[in-house]
Parts: sequence; structure tokens; C-alpha cells
Amino acid sequence: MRIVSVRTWALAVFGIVASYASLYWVQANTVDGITPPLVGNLPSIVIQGIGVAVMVYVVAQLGLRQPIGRQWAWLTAGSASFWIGSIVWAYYEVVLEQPVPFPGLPDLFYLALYPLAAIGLFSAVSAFGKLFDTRVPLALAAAVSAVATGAVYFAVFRTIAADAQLSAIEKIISFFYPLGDIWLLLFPAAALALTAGQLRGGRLAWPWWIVVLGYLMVAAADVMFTVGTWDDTYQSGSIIDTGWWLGFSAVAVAASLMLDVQRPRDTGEVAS
Amino acid sequence: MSLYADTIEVLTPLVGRPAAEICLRSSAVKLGKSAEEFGAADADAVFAEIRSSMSAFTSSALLEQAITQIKVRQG
Repeated sequence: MRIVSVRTWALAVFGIVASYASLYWVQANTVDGITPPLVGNLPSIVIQGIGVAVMVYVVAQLGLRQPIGRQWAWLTAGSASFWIGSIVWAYYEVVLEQPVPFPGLPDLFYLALYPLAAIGLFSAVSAFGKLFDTRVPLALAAAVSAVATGAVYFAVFRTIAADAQLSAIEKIISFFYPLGDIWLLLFPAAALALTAGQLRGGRLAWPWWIVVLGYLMVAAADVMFTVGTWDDTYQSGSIIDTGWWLGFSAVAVAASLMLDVQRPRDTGEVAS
Repeated sequence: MSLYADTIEVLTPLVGRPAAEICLRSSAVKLGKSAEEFGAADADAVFAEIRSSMSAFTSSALLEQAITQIKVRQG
């Protein structure tokens, strides 16, 4: 009995192949460190866009009347917001042919990912509350997040905070990306992983593992983006973007897998 | 097989054995008997507990199919 659909496998293969092919394509078109704006931005729009389209389809199939559908609607809204941010970013670089302001309009959409995804993830954690005690996973996840905050502080924040050339708002936005990643993505994602882990081999836990993996990649890319925008080394289509391409593709694969595992299957023993 | 065994067998591939056990133990506490003693008369209470504890992370279609499977096994 096949549980994982062709759609899910195809999306997973597409996410990995498209991400690495795009990275190669961007590098092949980069001359003297300069990437044509369209080349640098197109992969983000296409790869993230396909992921968002699949997630919208999944939410439509699950329906908003069901808690599981609403959880995925929030996660979809988060991915869609980030995707719109990428489109606005590309608009500045490709159409207006000007540097993207920082902080600017794209940040509004990028930062909206955090509260939207956090609502979806915390809803998913609380969904298991009638079966499992979620306080221990939440406490453990908070401890891990506190350690991660300390690590990012010493690795990134101290240096950026000491930079006299950055304005206060630039510093705040620079800090908000990694902090949002840690406390609004990784914290609930880790709590969800620990909670869903109690399902052991149950297949309803599978998609949540992939969600956690996806947001880990997004968080890693965000931290590198913070450093890249601070020292002015970030360029659209760089390896940092690969973290977003793979991360959001993984979240979309998880959505598709959720639809697979939630679908009733013909077991041959259900009375007609 | 018993209601206990059928429920464990149907729910384990979906939610894992620990969750299936917790669900049955909760029903047992409410019914004032051990889960292993469940009979046909307890089925509705067990199904109500399954719906109550799992509907927030499981689609209703999948949940109802699982319940139907248990009913079919119970004859």
C-alpha cells in the first residue's frame, strides 16, 4: 500500500534538483562577482512559488473547518508572505534596477513569516495536548532556543551592535531575523518535533519532521543573510538563497505528505 | 479479537502505539474498568474518546475510517 504520493515524491525531487541547478545556473552567469538581477531572482520566485501553490492546494483539500487544515493555512500564509517578499525584492532589482532598501518593503513580508508560521506551529503543538503533556517539550525547546540565542549573540549580534555605521532601525531589523527564527520558528518547531515524536512510528508524525527540517534550513539562511546584509556581501541567487529554496521546498513537501497521510486508504476491510 | 486489541492494531500505524494506549486508558478511567476488559457495550465510549483526543491533528475522514475499521473487525 503506497502512502507517499507521486505528487509528494515529485515535489521533493523538484525542490532538491531545482535548488542545486539554480545555484549552478546563477554561478555560471556571475561574472566578476556580478549576477544579472533576473538570473539572481528568478529561482526564488519559481521555487518558492511552486511550493506555495502546492500548499494552497493542500489547504483547499484539508479544508478550513478542520483544525489540521487551519494549522496548514497559517503555515501556507507564512510561506506565501515570504514568497511575496521575494517578488517585491525582485521588483526593486529587476524592474526598478535599484538597490533594495534595508529595511524596506520586502522585510515587511519576510518578517511576517514568523508570526504566521508560529501560529501554525503552536496550533499543531496544542493539537496533541489532549493526548500528551506538551509542557516538557515546550520547556526543552525553550532551553534549546535560549542556547541558540546565546550562540547567535556571540557570533553575530555583538559585532553588528558595535557597528557605528548602522542606524538603530537597521540593527533592530538585523537582530529580528535571527531572533524571529529562533523564537518564532525553531522554538515551536522543536516543541512540535518533541511532541510529535511521542507518536513514535505513527505516520501522522512524518510531515512534522520535514517541517522542522525545512525551518532549520530557513533559519540557517536567515542568519547568513543577516551577516551578508551587514557586511554587504549578500547577493541574490547566492548559496544563502539555496537555504530558503530547500527550506521552503521541504515545508511544501511536508504539506503534500500531510495530505497523503491524512487521506483514508482502502484497506480492504471497510464495509461498503 | 477484543476491542482493545483491534483498536491498538488500527490506530498504531497512524498515531503510534503509545498514543493508542493513552486513548484507551483514558476511556478506561472514564468507564471505571481496565482497557483489557472492554466489550462491545464500551465501543461507543472508546470511539468518542478517539474523536475527542485525536480530531485536532487528524482529518475527520481518516478518523472515521479508522473507527469504521475497528467496528468491522468487531463484527
